[in-house]
Amino acid sequence: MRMTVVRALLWLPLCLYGCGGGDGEGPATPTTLPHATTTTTASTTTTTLPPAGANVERVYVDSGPTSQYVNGIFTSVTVCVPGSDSACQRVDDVLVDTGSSGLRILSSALSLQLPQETGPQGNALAECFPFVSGTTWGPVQLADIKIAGERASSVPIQVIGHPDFSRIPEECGDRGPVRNTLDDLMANGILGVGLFRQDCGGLCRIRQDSPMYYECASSTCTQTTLEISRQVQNPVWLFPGDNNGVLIDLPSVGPSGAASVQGSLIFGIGTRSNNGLGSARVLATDQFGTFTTFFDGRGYSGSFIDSGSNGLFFLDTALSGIPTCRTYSDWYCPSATLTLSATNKGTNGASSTVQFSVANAESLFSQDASSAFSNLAGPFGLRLFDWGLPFFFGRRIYTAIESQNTPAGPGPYWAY
Amino acid sequence: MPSLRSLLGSFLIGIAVVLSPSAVLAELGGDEASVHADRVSLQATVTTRAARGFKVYEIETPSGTLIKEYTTQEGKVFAVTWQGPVLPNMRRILGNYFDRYRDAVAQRPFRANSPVSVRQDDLVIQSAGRMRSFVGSAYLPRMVPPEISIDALE
Repeated sequence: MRMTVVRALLWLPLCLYGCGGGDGEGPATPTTLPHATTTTTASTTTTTLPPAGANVERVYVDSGPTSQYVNGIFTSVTVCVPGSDSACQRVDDVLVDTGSSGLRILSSALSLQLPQETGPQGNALAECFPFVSGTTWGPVQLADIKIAGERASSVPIQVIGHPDFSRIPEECGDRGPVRNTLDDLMANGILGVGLFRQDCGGLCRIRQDSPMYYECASSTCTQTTLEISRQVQNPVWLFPGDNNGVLIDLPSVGPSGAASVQGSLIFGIGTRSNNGLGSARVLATDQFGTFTTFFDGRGYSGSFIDSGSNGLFFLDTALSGIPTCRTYSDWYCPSATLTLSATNKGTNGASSTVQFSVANAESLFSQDASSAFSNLAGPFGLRLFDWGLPFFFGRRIYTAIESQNTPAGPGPYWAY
Repeated sequence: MPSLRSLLGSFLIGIAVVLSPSAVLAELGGDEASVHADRVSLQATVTTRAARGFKVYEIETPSGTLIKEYTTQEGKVFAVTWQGPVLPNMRRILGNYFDRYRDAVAQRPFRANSPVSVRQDDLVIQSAGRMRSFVGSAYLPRMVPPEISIDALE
């Protein structure tokens, strides 16, 4: 009984920004566009090559470089010493993350020496970047970033776990575990192609209790505020063209999952014949990158779409009525697969009703060969929906970058 | 549970007081007067609300992150919630429970922005979001005041 009281308390913060009722949502049409990708399951393999183009990079969902990932979407990125066409290195197995902005590469995956970015005092700049499941620590260095036929020049990136920056500031470790190795990250890096131009933006121009940027003189790093241009940048908005966002195009996955899935990361929105919005519904977000999901008569503000979340995370057993797994309490385990419906509503008033499935996670995980699941979901407990990678299967999902113009107006928005 | 939120809201209709800058940020399991040192670095605005059986400290940091600390009548923090653009300093708000939180999260595979939760008999923590929009909560099930009964809320 007490637990429910506390849950009520936990609701409060999210209600500050309005917990709307769930009524008044008219039906909206889910968008279906032709997909061009490869799906491999135990039983069937169908192949249609993605639309080739200078703005298309292959992405793949598999178990990743450590063979341990579930619903991890990866790609390859080439980094070069700024201005060089020969001092370059391709890095595979970089996680594609619409939930963050900026490129982060493990130092252990990088043999290239890159120039160091400096802070306001002229000393080396380093960063402690907060993911909820751990922080990454390392210097900010400059690289040209090449993906598909696109190139962004002299972009600040984070080099994670650099040996010259081995002394991690105490307060960086005060937000959770520091994830600085391949074993920690289970990826060679993270390509943040999210809604924002920078990983931090105006927030890092003020001094905070929970700092991100540090300036390092000798081995001592101290917190610094930082102008926007020196922050780690989403490379997409720095491309000469196709720079207003990305489109992730993944094929459908059957109810029992797939060993691996291939799809496309397409740069630009409405800039070429392969990235038009078509009839996709555009859901604008607030300045924090969130919209409202209506489910079962209630509105959940603070919701978001995120390829860097490996499941659909929403509510908890008490609110959803779906039991969690006995052995994996992080996941839902309904006795039979559920088909549910929710409506996402943007800050622009546009809404879209979506169907989604929740399968028994223990049954899914019992298939050792599978690492891509469209129906993997788990509880979270607070009032939001995290539409993770399962939501991307069978959809073309557009992520429009803040202040960048698109045929549907400037970002930030999602469309699908 | 249609009226749960509104019922709870009625509990929180109490006296709101903006405290002086010397107000404190406590930590989970700590007492109200525990962390005076934080006020300087937080540069925070602190508000308290009295409710039946507990008190809420609302702390807004310069980034706009709102941290709420719920204390028993004896002044012990039994729950903390946060919401805002920046992931708070978790050690500061979890206090002695931080190491358990960090170790539990570290034992799980890194899943970027996937939410994390720790559920133990005497400690429940859940944390979600990504840069610009974090949300989370932590509470001590055994310290939730008995006066705060779900019977009244449901």
